Amino acid sequence: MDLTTGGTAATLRGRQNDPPLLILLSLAESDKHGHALAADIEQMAGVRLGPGTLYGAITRLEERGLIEPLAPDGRRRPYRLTETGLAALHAEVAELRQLADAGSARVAAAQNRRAYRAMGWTA
Amino acid sequence: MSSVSRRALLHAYPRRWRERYGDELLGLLDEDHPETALGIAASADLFVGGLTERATSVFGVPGRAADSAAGSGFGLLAWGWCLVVLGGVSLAKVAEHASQAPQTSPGILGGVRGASVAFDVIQWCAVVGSVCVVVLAALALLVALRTARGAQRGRILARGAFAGGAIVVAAGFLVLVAHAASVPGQHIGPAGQTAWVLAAAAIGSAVFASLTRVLVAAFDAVAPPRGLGVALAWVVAASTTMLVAATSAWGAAIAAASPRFLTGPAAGTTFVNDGRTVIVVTSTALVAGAVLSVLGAWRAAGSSTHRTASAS
Repeated sequence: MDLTTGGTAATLRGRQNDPPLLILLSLAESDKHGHALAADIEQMAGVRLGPGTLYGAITRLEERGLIEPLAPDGRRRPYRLTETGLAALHAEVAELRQLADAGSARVAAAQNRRAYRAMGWTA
Repeated sequence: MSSVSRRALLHAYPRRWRERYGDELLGLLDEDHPETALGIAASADLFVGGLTERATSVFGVPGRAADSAAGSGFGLLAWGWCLVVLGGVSLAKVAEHASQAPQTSPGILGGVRGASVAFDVIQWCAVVGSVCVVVLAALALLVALRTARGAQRGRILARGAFAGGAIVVAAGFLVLVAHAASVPGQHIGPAGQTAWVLAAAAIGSAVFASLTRVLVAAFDAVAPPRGLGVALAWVVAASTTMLVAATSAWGAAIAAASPRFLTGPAAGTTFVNDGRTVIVVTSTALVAGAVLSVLGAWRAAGSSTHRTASAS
């Protein structure tokens, strides 16, 4: 949620700012070249990665062996998630889930406290 | 933005990066902005991305473990030779009066005459090894300056300037101390002697640290001279090993012919009057230097083989 303007869940996704994670998530669905990656990430997370940011992240991921290039199709070169990349993505998503679960529990507790106070009860 | 401007922006990236990703990136830009200008945000993103890649290519070594192993191999070799030089200087000091040592018996290995032959071998090993190290360093510097670009070249030149500056400052200090010591009736004393030794150590460290870094940079950068570099490294390693063997033979011949020479004050130096201490320090420096040289050559050669196998 956009904390300054009170936006929607879509803007929460738009605040996502981890290009390597976004690229891994996109490639988990299917192999993609740069343009398709940028478009998919925009649709999935609501953020448009700049060309320098996108290719900087692709460079690092390829160096770390998390993605691999496929045969080029003209000037387009698709990329594929490697086994190592899939394992890294799994670990990353598990961490995010843990954070989200902890966050959900705290939000629920805060909402309950507010509801008690609104009814004049003390928690 | 025209394709010329896009290509110009692409030059913010290092050459190797452009060769690998340049076409793809231009293709992406043409797809995203077929007829329109890139815009300030995308241009700035590209420019910052290029600077980041340049910084990574200079400071980071991701995925270059084999190259780093080669570089550290040549670094070990340089440090090994540094130790051999220090041990050699000490040995030369010990050997100064060896020819006048009282010969009590012919002993093994021909006594003093045999020691003289062994010392000739030591000197030849030192000459051959030194020539190879100098050629290696010159080769490394040339290759590094030829292949390095921008900031990397500046760093190499800065290291050279650092080594040169250290030599000038420390040498000037040594001359001053030596001059003070040469004045009749004036002694530099223990503090002066200690400072002298520290200055000499500073010279050695500065020169060999810079040499090591230049070697690492050069042999990380390109493959072609690596075969020659490894061959020279093996010659240095062989020289140091043979030097240690010849030193052992020299010591054995001297010890057999004149048992009291090496353990007496004759083998002492200005700073250490006990010959045995000098012998232990000299031997340790020479043996450690030889071991480091062999390890360095082995590592550099092993990494070269690994790279060749990977490339094929």
